[in-house]
Amino acid sequence: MSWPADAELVEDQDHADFRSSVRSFLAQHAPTRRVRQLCDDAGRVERSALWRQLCTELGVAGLCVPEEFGGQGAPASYQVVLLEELGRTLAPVPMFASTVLATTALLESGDAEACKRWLPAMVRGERVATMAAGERPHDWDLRSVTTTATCLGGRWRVTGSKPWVVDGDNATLALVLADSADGSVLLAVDLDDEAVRREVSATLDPTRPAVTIHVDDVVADLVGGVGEGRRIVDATMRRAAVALAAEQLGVATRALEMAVEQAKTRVQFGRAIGSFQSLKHLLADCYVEVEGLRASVRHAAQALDDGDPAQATLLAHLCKAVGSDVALDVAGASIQVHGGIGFTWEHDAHLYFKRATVSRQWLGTPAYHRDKVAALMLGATA
Amino acid sequence: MTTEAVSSEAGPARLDEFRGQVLEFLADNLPDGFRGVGALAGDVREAFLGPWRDALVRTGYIAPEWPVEYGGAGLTQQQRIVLDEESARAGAPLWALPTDPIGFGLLGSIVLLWGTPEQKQHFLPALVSGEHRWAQGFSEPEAGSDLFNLRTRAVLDGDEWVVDGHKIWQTQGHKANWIFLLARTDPAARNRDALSFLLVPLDQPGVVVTPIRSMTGEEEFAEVRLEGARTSAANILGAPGQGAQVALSLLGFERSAFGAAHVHYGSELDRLVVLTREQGLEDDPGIRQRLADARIKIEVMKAMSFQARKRAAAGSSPGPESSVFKLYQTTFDLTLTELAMDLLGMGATITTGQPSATVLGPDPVGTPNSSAAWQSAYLRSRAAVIYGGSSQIQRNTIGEQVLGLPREPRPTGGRA
Repeated sequence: MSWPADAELVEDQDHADFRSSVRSFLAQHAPTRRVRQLCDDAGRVERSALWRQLCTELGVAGLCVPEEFGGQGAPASYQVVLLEELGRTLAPVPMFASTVLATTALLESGDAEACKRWLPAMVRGERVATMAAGERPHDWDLRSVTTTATCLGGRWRVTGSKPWVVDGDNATLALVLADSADGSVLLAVDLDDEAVRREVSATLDPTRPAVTIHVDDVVADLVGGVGEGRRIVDATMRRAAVALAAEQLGVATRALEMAVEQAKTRVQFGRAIGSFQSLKHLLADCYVEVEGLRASVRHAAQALDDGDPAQATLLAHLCKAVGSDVALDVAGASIQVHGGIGFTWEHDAHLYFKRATVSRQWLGTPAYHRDKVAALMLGATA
Repeated sequence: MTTEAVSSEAGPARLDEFRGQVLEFLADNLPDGFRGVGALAGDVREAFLGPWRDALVRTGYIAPEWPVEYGGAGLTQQQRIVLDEESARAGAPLWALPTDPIGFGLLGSIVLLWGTPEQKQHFLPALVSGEHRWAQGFSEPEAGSDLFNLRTRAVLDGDEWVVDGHKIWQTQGHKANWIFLLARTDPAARNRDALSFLLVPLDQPGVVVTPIRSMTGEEEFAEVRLEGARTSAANILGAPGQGAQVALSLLGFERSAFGAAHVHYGSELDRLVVLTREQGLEDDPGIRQRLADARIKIEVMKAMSFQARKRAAAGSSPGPESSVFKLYQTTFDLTLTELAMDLLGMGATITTGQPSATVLGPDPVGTPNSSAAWQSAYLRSRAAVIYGGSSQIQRNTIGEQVLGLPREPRPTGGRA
């Protein structure tokens, strides 16, 4: 198709090469018909295999991990490319849980011991990790964490429940935020411990499994300092917001491509439906939104690499707000353009719409992030 | 593994050095205590603009990207954006005469692209000096968005074109003494191939220019009637019949003027933050969402402008994506100025204070939070989604030229 390939146009050759190898890997190993199979109950083991292959062949889990911990030390701009491609295919791999959340949290903790202990196996795709921080549907500021941790004789023990732990079904390690007598802590919990119970829920988006983890007096390892838990999670969230926006960009881009293709080929009233202004203008508006998001995600990745925290914070909120709105708008428009067929289970349009819906809630709604931007402009409300 | 893909001829270091030069130029040529052209009252502003324009002419900054031989500064596009940004931040207009935006933004670009050496030598310096002040002559009463469906005719009479027709919506046309226009020069040819791009002096018998008052109450544009108006046979850009092609390349320039929009809008938003506090609305959740949304969209424009800069550095000329800019920017302008009116509340209903300092685009730095200024910005935003190709035309362009959707069926004969 004659997609304008704007993304590639302004990319360095290195980025473009990386994008193209990721895209061809995913086209071969995770086309959407296979994605559907992988999301079946029976697909769990195969999902793990796909992730290991993605890690060993393309090094995706170690892309932005420093070399001393087994990674390649690439800038955030490469991770953004990768997530955009994963968003395009909805590949059900634990990139977000293990690499964006858990890996970033480990690196942000500054805890070299923990990094050495966990990261190399995570980078090789042999161990899947996740993060379990929030407990309430809108509490992205983590004000109401009830999970508690105690330290006795140098050993930490943790008790509590964490809902919506992404990829918690395949993960063997969770970084759990808890409150202790000496402040918030981030604890590494072995999910295979028998005092951990995983409660698998049916999910709106089958491509992104989430479970509730109940932890009852489990022995855990401290990651970072005592009192550092919330700071580490906050810093992780900033990067995660940009990463999720990049994935939302991929979701929106693919949903729009499908809609454009449909508008070119579907004939009604003797004309291709894309020749009607009502649809043409809808798709043009979608394109404008997608290009705005594309530029913003690039800009934010640059800010992360530049290590400018104020700018990165603003752009992270921006990206998550814009990404959520654009992905849902475009995925919705795509169903509309596809007409009745777009509402069927067999058509892929709903997969993108569901991912857009779930990602919009995850890490904070657009209104939440806009209020964060407003706080930067006006100060927080009481 | 750098992502800052600016070209080697103007790498980041050289760009920073250039930024320093621009800041020095601004410091040397702006009056002490300058708070932006928007802060100057009418007559003070007039007194400022003359010498300021002279300074722009001396440095070539009045035509940043032109070659030095024609009065430009020979800047790269990235340098030009730096100049735009810093000037915008200081509230110093790069164009001082009301006709300069048309002259430099459109006519100058197109003469550089299509003009013969003689035409460049003749027209560009006269534009720089202010001797030629240009109006755009595309629209006609029956042909607004339908650009090539026009009636104005021109025939060769010896060594002169003789032009008859009626043009309308000439921005600042009543301040101009030249007009560039499309005229039908070959009655036998198909619509597109029948047109030529002519440069015509306005100050001659047979030309009547009438100002038109806009809904802001100001005389912003004009209509131009030409009866037997004459111009030299040499005053044609491109060959006879190539007018549509010349005009289309011009539209790209018109819509790509996006470089510093985020700076201008940023200063407008700063004023709105002040206004929010003055009105005691800083805890209003709805207002907070809208202010944040505005801030976010300004950052998106900045990001898009940055990407465009990278594309330009990679050697790509502005194409249909300029429609993306135009649509995004003008749509945003509507919401920002609506927010201003809502912040003013009932104060928006009466006209007080100093008026706006601009005719096109956002208000410059220094413009007060007066209801007079915001009212005209608000009303002008309704023009921006029409002029230069309406939002609907931009969406057609994006749909057809970027996304490759099929064209709408044209009525018979309309193969333009």
